[in-house]
Amino acid sequence: MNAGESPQPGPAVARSLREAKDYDFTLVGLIYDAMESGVYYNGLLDAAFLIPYPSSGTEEMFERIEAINNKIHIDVLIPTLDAELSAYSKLESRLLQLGIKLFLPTEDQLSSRSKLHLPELTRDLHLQMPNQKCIGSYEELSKMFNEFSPPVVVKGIYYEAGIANDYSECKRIAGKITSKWGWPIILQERIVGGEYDLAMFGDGSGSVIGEIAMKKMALTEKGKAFSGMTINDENIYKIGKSFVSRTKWRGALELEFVKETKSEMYYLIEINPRFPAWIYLSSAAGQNLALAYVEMALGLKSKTFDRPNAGIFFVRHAIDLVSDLNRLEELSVNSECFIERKKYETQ
Amino acid sequence: MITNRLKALALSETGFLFDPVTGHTYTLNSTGTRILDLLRKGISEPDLSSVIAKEYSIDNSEAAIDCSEFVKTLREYRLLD
Repeated sequence: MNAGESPQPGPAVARSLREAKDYDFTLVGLIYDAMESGVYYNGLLDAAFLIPYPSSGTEEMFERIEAINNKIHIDVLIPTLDAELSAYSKLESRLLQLGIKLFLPTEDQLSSRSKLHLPELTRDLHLQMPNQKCIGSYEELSKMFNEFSPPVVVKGIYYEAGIANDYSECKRIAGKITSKWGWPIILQERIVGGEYDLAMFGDGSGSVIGEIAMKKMALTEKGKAFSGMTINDENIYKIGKSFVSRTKWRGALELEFVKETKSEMYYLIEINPRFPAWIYLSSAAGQNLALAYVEMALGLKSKTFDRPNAGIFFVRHAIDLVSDLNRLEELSVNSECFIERKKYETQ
Repeated sequence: MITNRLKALALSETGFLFDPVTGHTYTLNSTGTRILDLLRKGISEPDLSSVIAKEYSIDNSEAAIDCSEFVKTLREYRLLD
């Protein structure tokens, strides 16, 4: 539920649900740290609970969710972080027995979209993606680097990336990534062009419930969208539709592209099997994809949205959220807090 | 001939231009805005210069150079087929 320098999707999902017409949801934030900013956004959450990191294992996660569910019943749970998706996917049927519903990609879908398996998936689906090699050691790195024309993109398999103009820079970035996340890393051809994202929601049978494409207008140092504009390019939507139809994608999805300036072709860079941090733009543009998740999880037929208009624009704006010590104290001491519903601070 | 590409562009009176396919935005001066507006109304490229020459009270030859330059720029930015 953090919306700081590198924002997570949680606050945007909660904001979309808080503003959903015809519903008055009780929103519970599941957080990993008492300082996650979404907790201090007045009117956004009704309660927050600390949960163990996914690295602690699915059993510990399940026990904590079960304990939380005994205090405040959870009807629908929306995982929004890459690291927790696989665990929740494994726990989906057990959580259902507690009355907690999810609408997630299958484990096969999660595995097929990983950075390591992306080349096979794009080949099967006839999508363009930059050439890439998976690298398991410095020795391999020195050999494979020569197969690329610099600049080359150096990526961790889960997080972080950098652009290297020569081998020494490549080695330095690889060292930084592997010191945190370990090997392997990925070397990827750099496509020169503008960055575009497509967020979608698949119903699990091959149909798209909603879709929204945007051009990244401004990027953070880490390459995250800090500003974006909805677009209406038939080509990007066609790629997305084909992807959902052929994979029978279930749930939220973000496809990241670079549109090569020279050829005007879209190259698929990454697939995120969850809502992106900018997903509030979808509800602002008339397609509340977070609400679609809730409705699909509850077995209600979610309406299929019309494509949003082009030219709807967002820019992030960081402000200081102020709170007294009560929420922080409750979370620090009891690992939970119930929040009195205050006036929702919209803009 | 008005192409789909031209029709899709969103051009405001202030000269703010939005390309809904790429998401790019541009700011045009009043002459650029007028030329693009004329193109979107179906004025052919050869007829452009005479309209501009008349409206801005300049020589036809001068208008022809300016219009041709501007149309070339539009093509470079792929705003015109």
